Amino acid sequence: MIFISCNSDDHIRTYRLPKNVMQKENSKTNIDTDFKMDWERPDQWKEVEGHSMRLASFSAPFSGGIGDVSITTFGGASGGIAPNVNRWLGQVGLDPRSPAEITEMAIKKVGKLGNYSYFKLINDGDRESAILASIFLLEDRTVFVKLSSTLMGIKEIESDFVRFCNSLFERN
Amino acid sequence: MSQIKIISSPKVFSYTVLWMIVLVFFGTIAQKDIGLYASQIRYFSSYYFLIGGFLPLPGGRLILMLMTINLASSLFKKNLWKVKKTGIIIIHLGGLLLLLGGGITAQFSSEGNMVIAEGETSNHVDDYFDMELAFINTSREDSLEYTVFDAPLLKDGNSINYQKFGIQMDVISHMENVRIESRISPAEPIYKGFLKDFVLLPKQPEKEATQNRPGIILKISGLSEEEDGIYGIFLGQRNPDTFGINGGLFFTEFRRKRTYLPFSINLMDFEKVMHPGTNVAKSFSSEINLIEDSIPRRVLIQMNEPLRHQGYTFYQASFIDGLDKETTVLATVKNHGRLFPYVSSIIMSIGLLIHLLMSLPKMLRKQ
Repeated sequence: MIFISCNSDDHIRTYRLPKNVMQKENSKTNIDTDFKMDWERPDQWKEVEGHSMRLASFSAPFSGGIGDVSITTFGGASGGIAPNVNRWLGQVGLDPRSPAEITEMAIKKVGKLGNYSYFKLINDGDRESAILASIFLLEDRTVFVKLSSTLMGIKEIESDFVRFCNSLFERN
Repeated sequence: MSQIKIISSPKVFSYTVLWMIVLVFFGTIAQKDIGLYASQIRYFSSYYFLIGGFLPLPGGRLILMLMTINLASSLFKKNLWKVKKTGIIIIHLGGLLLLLGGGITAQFSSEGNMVIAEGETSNHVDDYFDMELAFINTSREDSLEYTVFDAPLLKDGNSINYQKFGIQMDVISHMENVRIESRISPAEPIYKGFLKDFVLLPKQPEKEATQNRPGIILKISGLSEEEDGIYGIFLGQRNPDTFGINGGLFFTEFRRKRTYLPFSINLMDFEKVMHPGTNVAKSFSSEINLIEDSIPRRVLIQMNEPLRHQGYTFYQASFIDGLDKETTVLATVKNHGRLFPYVSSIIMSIGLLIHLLMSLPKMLRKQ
Protein backbone atom coordinates (compact mmCIF):
# COMPACT_ATOMS: atom_id res chain seq x y z
CA MET A 1 0.00 0.00 0.00
CA ILE A 2 2.81 2.38 0.95
CA PHE A 3 4.61 1.74 -2.35
CA ILE A 4 1.43 2.27 -4.31
CA SER A 5 0.61 5.50 -2.54
CA CYS A 6 4.15 6.82 -3.05
CA ASN A 7 4.05 6.26 -6.81
CA SER A 8 5.72 9.22 -8.49
CA ASP A 9 2.73 9.66 -10.82
CA ASP A 10 0.79 10.87 -7.77
CA HIS A 11 3.00 13.93 -7.86
CA ILE A 12 2.45 14.75 -11.52
CA ARG A 13 -0.68 16.62 -12.54
CA THR A 14 -1.89 17.78 -15.91
CA TYR A 15 -4.54 20.40 -16.55
CA ARG A 16 -5.53 22.97 -19.13
CA LEU A 17 -6.45 26.61 -18.82
CA PRO A 18 -8.06 28.67 -21.56
CA LYS A 19 -5.51 30.75 -23.47
CA ASN A 20 -7.60 33.91 -23.48
CA VAL A 21 -7.22 34.17 -19.68
CA MET A 22 -3.45 34.28 -20.04
CA GLN A 23 -3.61 36.71 -22.91
CA LYS A 24 -5.86 38.96 -20.87
CA GLU A 25 -3.41 38.83 -17.98
CA ASN A 26 -0.56 39.85 -20.24
CA SER A 27 -2.32 42.36 -22.41
CA LYS A 28 -0.90 45.87 -22.39
CA THR A 29 -4.20 47.62 -22.89
CA ASN A 30 -3.23 50.74 -21.00
CA ILE A 31 -0.12 51.53 -22.95
CA ASP A 32 -0.24 54.41 -25.35
CA THR A 33 0.84 52.67 -28.53
CA ASP A 34 1.29 55.93 -30.46
CA PHE A 35 4.47 56.62 -28.55
CA LYS A 36 7.30 54.25 -29.39
CA MET A 37 10.78 54.25 -27.96
CA ASP A 38 14.06 52.59 -28.64
CA TRP A 39 17.19 52.14 -26.59
CA GLU A 40 20.60 50.60 -26.39
CA ARG A 41 20.33 47.73 -23.96
CA PRO A 42 23.43 46.76 -21.93
CA ASP A 43 24.69 43.32 -23.01
CA GLN A 44 23.92 41.62 -19.70
CA TRP A 45 20.36 42.84 -19.48
CA LYS A 46 17.54 40.75 -20.82
CA GLU A 47 14.21 42.12 -21.95
CA VAL A 48 11.45 40.30 -20.13
CA GLU A 49 7.68 40.15 -19.95
CA GLY A 50 6.66 42.84 -17.55
CA HIS A 51 3.74 44.45 -15.82
CA SER A 52 0.83 45.36 -18.07
CA MET A 53 1.47 49.07 -17.56
CA ARG A 54 5.09 48.93 -18.62
CA LEU A 55 6.43 49.86 -22.00
CA ALA A 56 9.33 47.49 -21.40
CA SER A 57 10.95 45.53 -18.59
CA PHE A 58 14.47 44.21 -18.20
CA SER A 59 16.30 41.86 -15.88
CA ALA A 60 19.62 43.39 -14.89
CA PRO A 61 21.81 40.78 -13.18
CA PHE A 62 24.38 41.68 -10.56
CA SER A 63 26.48 39.58 -8.23
CA GLY A 64 23.73 39.33 -5.60
CA GLY A 65 20.67 38.78 -7.78
CA ILE A 66 18.69 40.51 -10.48
CA GLY A 67 17.58 44.13 -10.63
CA ASP A 68 14.25 45.06 -12.18
CA VAL A 69 14.30 47.84 -14.76
CA SER A 70 11.06 49.28 -16.06
CA ILE A 71 10.09 51.93 -18.57
CA THR A 72 6.67 53.48 -18.17
CA THR A 73 5.14 56.38 -19.99
CA PHE A 74 1.96 58.34 -19.47
CA GLY A 75 0.37 61.28 -21.21
CA GLY A 76 0.79 64.71 -19.55
CA ALA A 77 2.69 65.35 -16.35
CA SER A 78 1.38 62.12 -14.78
CA GLY A 79 1.15 63.59 -11.31
CA GLY A 80 4.44 65.45 -11.56
CA ILE A 81 7.85 64.58 -10.20
CA ALA A 82 7.31 65.05 -6.45
CA PRO A 83 4.37 62.64 -5.88
CA ASN A 84 6.11 59.91 -7.87
CA VAL A 85 9.43 60.37 -6.07
CA ASN A 86 7.62 60.38 -2.74
CA ARG A 87 5.92 57.13 -3.69
CA TRP A 88 9.31 55.58 -4.44
CA LEU A 89 10.77 57.00 -1.22
CA GLY A 90 7.99 55.13 0.57
CA GLN A 91 8.96 51.94 -1.29
CA VAL A 92 12.50 52.12 0.11
CA GLY A 93 11.21 52.98 3.58
CA LEU A 94 12.01 56.71 3.60
CA ASP A 95 9.77 59.59 4.62
CA PRO A 96 8.25 61.83 1.96
CA ARG A 97 10.00 65.10 1.09
CA SER A 98 8.70 68.49 0.10
CA PRO A 99 8.70 69.45 -3.60
CA ALA A 100 11.61 71.84 -2.92
CA GLU A 101 13.67 69.09 -1.30
CA ILE A 102 12.92 66.76 -4.19
CA THR A 103 14.03 69.40 -6.68
CA GLU A 104 17.30 69.64 -4.73
CA MET A 105 17.69 65.86 -4.75
CA ALA A 106 17.35 65.68 -8.54
CA ILE A 107 20.53 65.36 -10.57
CA LYS A 108 20.01 67.02 -13.93
CA LYS A 109 21.15 64.94 -16.89
CA VAL A 110 20.78 65.05 -20.65
CA GLY A 111 20.05 62.06 -22.84
CA LYS A 112 19.00 61.48 -26.45
CA LEU A 113 15.37 61.86 -25.38
CA GLY A 114 16.04 65.20 -23.69
CA ASN A 115 16.70 66.58 -20.23
CA TYR A 116 15.82 64.37 -17.34
CA SER A 117 15.88 64.31 -13.54
CA TYR A 118 17.88 61.50 -12.02
CA PHE A 119 17.24 60.21 -8.48
CA LYS A 120 19.20 57.86 -6.25
CA LEU A 121 16.86 56.69 -3.50
CA ILE A 122 18.85 54.89 -0.86
CA ASN A 123 17.85 54.05 2.69
CA ASP A 124 20.97 53.46 4.78
CA GLY A 125 18.89 51.48 7.25
CA ASP A 126 17.60 49.04 4.64
CA ARG A 127 20.18 47.65 2.24
CA GLU A 128 17.64 45.33 0.66
CA SER A 129 15.72 47.93 -1.31
CA ALA A 130 17.04 50.86 -3.29
CA ILE A 131 15.85 52.67 -6.39
CA LEU A 132 17.45 54.55 -9.24
CA ALA A 133 15.00 56.53 -11.32
CA SER A 134 15.00 58.92 -14.23
CA ILE A 135 12.05 61.11 -15.08
CA PHE A 136 11.79 62.68 -18.54
CA LEU A 137 9.24 65.48 -18.65
CA LEU A 138 8.50 65.74 -22.36
CA GLU A 139 6.09 68.12 -24.07
CA ASP A 140 3.04 65.91 -23.92
CA ARG A 141 4.09 63.05 -21.70
CA THR A 142 6.27 61.79 -18.89
CA VAL A 143 8.65 58.85 -19.19
CA PHE A 144 9.74 57.02 -16.05
CA VAL A 145 12.74 54.70 -16.06
CA LYS A 146 13.21 52.90 -12.79
CA LEU A 147 15.66 50.36 -11.43
CA SER A 148 14.57 48.50 -8.28
CA SER A 149 17.19 46.42 -6.60
CA THR A 150 19.29 46.14 -3.44
CA LEU A 151 21.89 48.70 -2.40
CA MET A 152 24.62 46.43 -3.79
CA GLY A 153 22.58 45.98 -6.96
CA ILE A 154 22.21 49.66 -7.77
CA LYS A 155 25.89 50.25 -7.08
CA GLU A 156 26.85 47.57 -9.58
CA ILE A 157 24.23 48.43 -12.18
CA GLU A 158 24.26 52.23 -11.91
CA SER A 159 26.70 52.97 -14.73
CA ASP A 160 24.77 50.68 -17.12
CA PHE A 161 21.51 52.27 -15.97
CA VAL A 162 22.70 55.81 -16.67
CA ARG A 163 24.05 54.78 -20.10
CA PHE A 164 20.70 53.12 -20.77
CA CYS A 165 18.75 56.25 -19.78
CA ASN A 166 20.99 58.39 -21.99
CA SER A 167 20.40 56.05 -24.92
CA LEU A 168 16.57 56.25 -24.89
CA PHE A 169 15.10 57.95 -27.93
CA GLU A 170 11.70 58.32 -29.58
CA ARG A 171 11.18 56.06 -32.54
CA ASN A 172 9.46 57.65 -35.54
CA MET B 1 -3.98 -2.74 33.08
CA SER B 2 -0.77 -1.51 34.64
CA GLN B 3 0.36 -0.29 31.22
CA ILE B 4 -2.80 1.77 30.84
CA LYS B 5 -2.21 3.09 34.33
CA ILE B 6 1.25 4.33 33.34
CA ILE B 7 0.21 5.73 29.96
CA SER B 8 -2.88 7.42 31.37
CA SER B 9 -1.11 8.88 34.38
CA PRO B 10 -1.87 12.56 34.97
CA LYS B 11 1.88 12.97 35.54
CA VAL B 12 2.50 12.23 31.85
CA PHE B 13 0.05 14.97 30.94
CA SER B 14 1.68 17.42 33.34
CA TYR B 15 5.18 16.70 31.98
CA THR B 16 4.04 17.03 28.36
CA VAL B 17 2.36 20.36 29.13
CA LEU B 18 5.55 21.55 30.83
CA TRP B 19 7.63 20.44 27.85
CA MET B 20 5.26 22.29 25.49
CA ILE B 21 5.89 25.45 27.54
CA VAL B 22 9.63 24.90 27.11
CA LEU B 23 9.16 24.38 23.36
CA VAL B 24 7.06 27.55 23.05
CA PHE B 25 9.78 29.48 24.89
CA PHE B 26 12.67 28.21 22.76
CA GLY B 27 10.62 28.29 19.56
CA THR B 28 9.77 31.94 20.16
CA ILE B 29 13.39 32.86 20.92
CA ALA B 30 14.58 30.96 17.82
CA GLN B 31 12.26 32.95 15.56
CA LYS B 32 14.59 35.92 15.90
CA ASP B 33 17.51 34.04 14.37
CA ILE B 34 16.00 31.48 12.02
CA GLY B 35 12.62 33.01 11.22
CA LEU B 36 9.06 31.96 11.94
CA TYR B 37 8.75 29.11 9.45
CA ALA B 38 12.06 27.39 10.28
CA SER B 39 11.34 27.70 13.98
CA GLN B 40 7.86 26.25 13.54
CA ILE B 41 9.27 23.30 11.58
CA ARG B 42 12.11 22.68 14.01
CA TYR B 43 10.30 22.88 17.32
CA PHE B 44 6.61 22.28 16.70
CA SER B 45 6.13 20.28 13.48
CA SER B 46 8.91 17.80 14.26
CA TYR B 47 9.01 14.53 16.16
CA TYR B 48 12.43 15.41 17.54
CA PHE B 49 15.13 18.03 17.14
CA LEU B 50 18.83 18.02 17.92
CA ILE B 51 20.43 20.28 20.48
CA GLY B 52 24.09 20.97 19.79
CA GLY B 53 23.84 18.78 16.71
CA PHE B 54 23.76 15.49 18.64
CA LEU B 55 21.31 15.50 21.57
CA PRO B 56 17.79 14.53 20.40
CA LEU B 57 14.89 16.10 22.27
CA PRO B 58 11.18 15.50 21.65
CA GLY B 59 9.51 17.92 19.23
CA GLY B 60 5.99 19.31 19.36
CA ARG B 61 4.44 16.64 17.16
CA LEU B 62 5.71 13.78 19.34
CA ILE B 63 4.65 15.53 22.53
CA LEU B 64 1.16 16.21 21.21
CA MET B 65 0.83 12.58 20.13
CA LEU B 66 1.88 11.50 23.60
CA MET B 67 -0.63 13.90 25.11
CA THR B 68 -3.39 12.49 22.88
CA ILE B 69 -2.56 8.91 23.85
CA ASN B 70 -2.45 9.93 27.50
CA LEU B 71 -5.82 11.62 27.39
CA ALA B 72 -7.43 8.87 25.32
CA SER B 73 -6.15 6.09 27.54
CA SER B 74 -7.33 7.91 30.66
CA LEU B 75 -10.86 7.35 29.37
CA PHE B 76 -10.31 3.61 29.86
CA LYS B 77 -9.83 4.03 33.58
CA LYS B 78 -12.68 2.26 35.35
CA ASN B 79 -12.93 4.72 38.21
CA LEU B 80 -13.47 7.62 35.78
CA TRP B 81 -16.85 6.44 34.59
CA LYS B 82 -18.91 7.58 37.54
CA VAL B 83 -21.74 10.10 37.62
CA LYS B 84 -19.83 12.40 39.94
CA LYS B 85 -17.02 12.59 37.38
CA THR B 86 -19.26 13.60 34.48
CA GLY B 87 -17.58 17.01 34.30
CA ILE B 88 -14.10 15.51 34.18
CA ILE B 89 -15.12 13.09 31.41
CA ILE B 90 -16.49 15.98 29.37
CA ILE B 91 -13.29 18.01 29.93
CA HIS B 92 -11.21 15.03 28.75
CA LEU B 93 -13.38 14.63 25.65
CA GLY B 94 -13.06 18.36 24.91
CA GLY B 95 -9.27 18.16 25.27
CA LEU B 96 -9.14 15.15 22.97
CA LEU B 97 -11.24 16.98 20.40
CA LEU B 98 -8.85 19.95 20.58
CA LEU B 99 -5.86 17.68 19.96
CA LEU B 100 -7.69 15.90 17.15
CA GLY B 101 -8.37 19.30 15.55
CA GLY B 102 -4.70 20.17 15.89
CA GLY B 103 -3.79 16.94 14.11
CA ILE B 104 -6.25 17.63 11.29
CA THR B 105 -4.91 21.17 10.94
CA ALA B 106 -1.29 19.97 10.88
CA GLN B 107 -2.03 17.28 8.32
CA PHE B 108 -4.54 18.83 5.97
CA SER B 109 -4.43 22.62 6.23
CA SER B 110 -2.81 24.69 3.54
CA GLU B 111 -1.84 28.33 3.43
CA GLY B 112 -0.60 30.70 0.81
CA ASN B 113 -0.99 34.05 -0.86
CA MET B 114 -3.41 35.37 -3.42
CA VAL B 115 -1.93 38.39 -5.18
CA ILE B 116 -4.29 40.52 -7.29
CA ALA B 117 -3.72 43.90 -8.92
CA GLU B 118 -6.57 46.39 -9.10
CA GLY B 119 -8.90 45.51 -11.95
CA GLU B 120 -7.51 41.99 -12.31
CA THR B 121 -8.95 38.60 -11.42
CA SER B 122 -7.32 35.56 -9.88
CA ASN B 123 -8.50 32.06 -9.12
CA HIS B 124 -5.43 30.50 -7.56
CA VAL B 125 -3.43 30.53 -4.35
CA ASP B 126 0.36 30.29 -4.26
CA ASP B 127 1.72 28.19 -1.41
CA TYR B 128 4.15 29.97 0.94
CA PHE B 129 6.77 27.26 0.89
CA ASP B 130 6.16 24.30 -1.43
CA MET B 131 7.46 24.61 -4.97
CA GLU B 132 6.45 22.92 -8.22
CA LEU B 133 7.91 22.67 -11.69
CA ALA B 134 5.45 23.28 -14.52
CA PHE B 135 5.94 22.43 -18.19
CA ILE B 136 3.54 24.57 -20.17
CA ASN B 137 2.50 23.51 -23.64
CA THR B 138 1.80 26.59 -25.73
CA SER B 139 0.99 24.72 -28.92
CA ARG B 140 -2.68 24.12 -28.33
CA GLU B 141 -4.96 26.52 -30.12
CA ASP B 142 -7.35 27.46 -27.34
CA SER B 143 -5.61 26.45 -24.15
CA LEU B 144 -2.34 26.14 -22.30
CA GLU B 145 -1.64 22.64 -21.04
CA TYR B 146 0.20 22.47 -17.72
CA THR B 147 2.13 19.40 -16.63
CA VAL B 148 3.16 19.96 -13.05
CA PHE B 149 5.80 18.06 -11.06
CA ASP B 150 5.38 18.38 -7.29
CA ALA B 151 8.11 19.18 -4.76
CA PRO B 152 8.72 15.57 -3.58
CA LEU B 153 9.96 14.71 -7.10
CA LEU B 154 12.37 17.64 -7.19
CA LYS B 155 14.79 16.58 -4.49
CA ASP B 156 18.56 16.53 -5.10
CA GLY B 157 19.65 13.44 -7.01
CA ASN B 158 16.12 12.37 -7.97
CA SER B 159 15.42 11.10 -11.47
CA ILE B 160 12.08 11.56 -13.16
CA ASN B 161 11.37 9.41 -16.17
CA TYR B 162 8.27 10.92 -17.74
CA GLN B 163 7.26 8.68 -20.59
CA LYS B 164 4.46 10.89 -21.83
CA PHE B 165 7.09 13.45 -22.85
CA GLY B 166 9.74 10.82 -23.58
CA ILE B 167 12.20 12.68 -21.36
CA GLN B 168 14.29 12.01 -18.31
CA MET B 169 15.01 14.74 -15.80
CA ASP B 170 17.83 14.35 -13.29
CA VAL B 171 17.72 16.84 -10.46
CA ILE B 172 21.30 18.03 -10.03
CA SER B 173 20.57 20.59 -7.39
CA HIS B 174 17.47 22.00 -5.72
CA MET B 175 18.42 25.18 -3.90
CA GLU B 176 16.29 26.89 -1.28
CA ASN B 177 17.67 30.27 -2.21
CA VAL B 178 19.80 31.24 -5.20
CA ARG B 179 21.83 34.14 -6.51
CA ILE B 180 22.43 34.68 -10.18
CA GLU B 181 25.76 35.63 -11.64
CA SER B 182 26.89 36.27 -15.17
CA ARG B 183 29.37 33.81 -16.60
CA ILE B 184 32.89 35.16 -16.91
CA SER B 185 33.93 32.66 -19.58
CA PRO B 186 31.86 30.87 -22.25
CA ALA B 187 29.81 27.96 -20.93
CA GLU B 188 30.47 24.36 -21.89
CA PRO B 189 28.07 23.07 -24.56
CA ILE B 190 26.15 20.94 -22.05
CA TYR B 191 24.72 24.10 -20.45
CA LYS B 192 21.59 25.26 -22.21
CA GLY B 193 19.24 28.23 -22.23
CA PHE B 194 19.63 30.61 -19.32
CA LEU B 195 22.68 28.72 -18.03
CA LYS B 196 24.61 29.56 -21.20
CA ASP B 197 24.96 33.13 -19.94
CA PHE B 198 24.38 32.88 -16.20
CA VAL B 199 25.09 30.59 -13.27
CA LEU B 200 22.79 29.75 -10.38
CA LEU B 201 24.60 29.62 -7.06
CA PRO B 202 23.26 28.67 -3.64
CA LYS B 203 22.69 31.57 -1.29
CA GLN B 204 22.20 31.58 2.48
CA PRO B 205 18.43 31.21 3.05
CA GLU B 206 16.67 34.30 4.37
CA LYS B 207 15.11 34.34 7.83
CA GLU B 208 11.66 34.44 6.30
CA ALA B 209 11.26 31.56 3.86
CA THR B 210 8.92 33.56 1.65
CA GLN B 211 11.77 35.95 0.83
CA ASN B 212 13.87 33.16 -0.66
CA ARG B 213 14.22 32.71 -4.38
CA PRO B 214 14.38 28.92 -4.85
CA GLY B 215 16.05 27.52 -7.94
CA ILE B 216 16.67 24.15 -9.53
CA ILE B 217 19.31 22.76 -11.88
CA LEU B 218 18.14 19.87 -14.05
CA LYS B 219 19.73 17.63 -16.61
CA ILE B 220 17.14 16.92 -19.26
CA SER B 221 17.63 14.17 -21.81
CA GLY B 222 15.35 12.76 -24.50
CA LEU B 223 14.48 16.11 -26.09
CA SER B 224 16.84 16.29 -29.07
CA GLU B 225 20.57 16.27 -29.56
CA GLU B 226 20.65 20.06 -29.55
CA GLU B 227 18.31 20.58 -26.63
CA ASP B 228 19.53 17.83 -24.27
CA GLY B 229 21.62 19.35 -21.51
CA ILE B 230 21.62 21.14 -18.20
CA TYR B 231 19.03 23.82 -17.49
CA GLY B 232 18.60 26.25 -14.63
CA ILE B 233 15.18 27.48 -13.56
CA PHE B 234 14.35 29.78 -10.66
CA LEU B 235 11.36 31.44 -9.05
CA GLY B 236 10.33 34.59 -10.89
CA GLN B 237 12.36 33.81 -14.02
CA ARG B 238 10.86 36.14 -16.55
CA ASN B 239 12.49 34.84 -19.66
CA PRO B 240 12.01 31.08 -19.46
CA ASP B 241 13.77 28.50 -21.61
CA THR B 242 11.70 26.78 -24.27
CA PHE B 243 11.68 23.15 -25.38
CA GLY B 244 10.31 21.14 -28.24
CA ILE B 245 8.44 18.13 -26.86
CA ASN B 246 6.31 15.80 -28.98
CA GLY B 247 6.12 18.46 -31.67
CA GLY B 248 4.83 21.12 -29.25
CA LEU B 249 6.51 24.21 -27.86
CA PHE B 250 6.86 24.15 -24.09
CA PHE B 251 8.28 26.52 -21.53
CA THR B 252 9.00 25.88 -17.88
CA GLU B 253 8.05 27.68 -14.72
CA PHE B 254 9.50 26.98 -11.27
CA ARG B 255 6.89 28.47 -9.04
CA ARG B 256 5.22 28.26 -5.69
CA LYS B 257 2.76 25.38 -5.55
CA ARG B 258 -0.46 26.62 -7.06
CA THR B 259 -3.92 25.61 -5.88
CA TYR B 260 -6.83 26.51 -8.12
CA LEU B 261 -10.05 27.56 -6.45
CA PRO B 262 -13.59 26.73 -7.56
CA PHE B 263 -14.30 30.48 -7.70
CA SER B 264 -12.38 33.63 -8.59
CA ILE B 265 -11.79 37.00 -7.02
CA ASN B 266 -11.73 40.29 -8.90
CA LEU B 267 -10.07 43.21 -7.10
CA MET B 268 -12.18 46.29 -7.72
CA ASP B 269 -10.41 48.71 -5.42
CA PHE B 270 -7.66 48.65 -2.83
CA GLU B 271 -7.53 51.34 -0.19
CA LYS B 272 -4.93 52.08 2.41
CA VAL B 273 -4.93 54.65 5.17
CA MET B 274 -1.54 55.70 6.48
CA HIS B 275 -0.73 57.07 9.92
CA PRO B 276 -0.44 60.84 9.39
CA GLY B 277 3.05 61.95 8.37
CA THR B 278 4.41 58.41 8.11
CA ASN B 279 4.59 55.55 5.66
CA VAL B 280 3.16 53.12 8.19
CA ALA B 281 -0.19 51.67 7.16
CA LYS B 282 -2.99 52.31 9.64
CA SER B 283 -5.47 50.14 7.84
CA PHE B 284 -5.98 48.68 4.41
CA SER B 285 -8.89 47.01 2.69
CA SER B 286 -9.79 45.29 -0.57
CA GLU B 287 -13.13 45.73 -2.25
CA ILE B 288 -13.61 42.58 -4.28
CA ASN B 289 -16.07 40.75 -6.44
CA LEU B 290 -16.35 37.11 -5.47
CA ILE B 291 -17.27 35.43 -8.73
CA GLU B 292 -18.87 32.00 -8.56
CA ASP B 293 -20.76 30.41 -11.44
CA SER B 294 -20.37 33.76 -13.25
CA ILE B 295 -22.32 35.52 -10.52
CA PRO B 296 -20.37 38.31 -8.79
CA ARG B 297 -20.88 39.21 -5.14
CA ARG B 298 -19.33 42.36 -3.71
CA VAL B 299 -17.34 41.84 -0.49
CA LEU B 300 -15.07 44.09 1.56
CA ILE B 301 -12.02 42.37 3.07
CA GLN B 302 -10.16 44.36 5.68
CA MET B 303 -7.89 43.85 8.63
CA ASN B 304 -9.62 41.57 11.18
CA GLU B 305 -12.54 41.08 8.79
CA PRO B 306 -11.58 38.21 6.50
CA LEU B 307 -13.70 36.62 3.82
CA ARG B 308 -14.70 33.04 4.55
CA HIS B 309 -15.92 31.02 1.59
CA GLN B 310 -16.02 27.30 0.77
CA GLY B 311 -13.62 26.43 3.58
CA TYR B 312 -11.11 29.10 2.56
CA THR B 313 -10.38 32.18 4.63
CA PHE B 314 -8.90 35.26 2.96
CA TYR B 315 -7.16 37.71 5.27
CA GLN B 316 -5.99 41.17 4.23
CA ALA B 317 -2.25 40.60 4.71
CA SER B 318 -0.29 43.13 2.71
CA PHE B 319 -0.12 45.18 -0.48
CA ILE B 320 2.29 46.15 -3.24
CA ASP B 321 2.50 49.80 -4.19
CA GLY B 322 2.38 50.40 -7.92
CA LEU B 323 2.96 53.44 -10.06
CA ASP B 324 -0.67 53.86 -11.03
CA LYS B 325 -2.48 51.03 -9.30
CA GLU B 326 -2.06 48.92 -6.26
CA THR B 327 -1.92 45.20 -5.69
CA THR B 328 -3.48 43.43 -2.75
CA VAL B 329 -1.97 40.42 -1.00
CA LEU B 330 -4.52 38.16 0.63
CA ALA B 331 -3.23 35.48 2.99
CA THR B 332 -5.33 32.43 2.18
CA VAL B 333 -5.85 29.58 4.58
CA LYS B 334 -7.79 26.36 4.15
CA ASN B 335 -8.10 24.73 7.51
CA HIS B 336 -10.41 21.75 7.93
CA GLY B 337 -9.82 21.86 11.67
CA ARG B 338 -10.83 25.50 12.02
CA LEU B 339 -13.92 24.88 14.15
CA PHE B 340 -12.32 22.34 16.50
CA PRO B 341 -10.81 24.90 18.95
CA TYR B 342 -14.17 26.70 19.29
CA VAL B 343 -16.20 23.51 19.77
CA SER B 344 -13.68 21.90 22.13
CA SER B 345 -13.39 25.10 24.19
CA ILE B 346 -17.17 25.15 24.62
CA ILE B 347 -17.19 21.46 25.57
CA MET B 348 -14.38 21.95 28.09
CA SER B 349 -16.12 25.01 29.56
CA ILE B 350 -19.31 23.00 29.97
CA GLY B 351 -17.28 20.20 31.59
CA LEU B 352 -15.65 22.64 34.00
CA LEU B 353 -19.02 24.16 34.85
CA ILE B 354 -20.62 20.76 35.50
CA HIS B 355 -17.66 19.70 37.61
CA LEU B 356 -17.84 22.93 39.60
CA LEU B 357 -21.59 22.61 40.16
CA MET B 358 -21.27 18.96 41.22
CA SER B 359 -18.42 19.77 43.59
CA LEU B 360 -20.17 22.80 45.06
CA PRO B 361 -22.29 21.00 47.74
CA LYS B 362 -19.18 19.14 48.95
CA MET B 363 -17.19 22.37 49.10
CA LEU B 364 -20.00 24.13 50.99
CA ARG B 365 -20.28 21.25 53.45
CA LYS B 366 -16.57 21.48 54.20
CA GLN B 367 -16.90 25.18 54.97
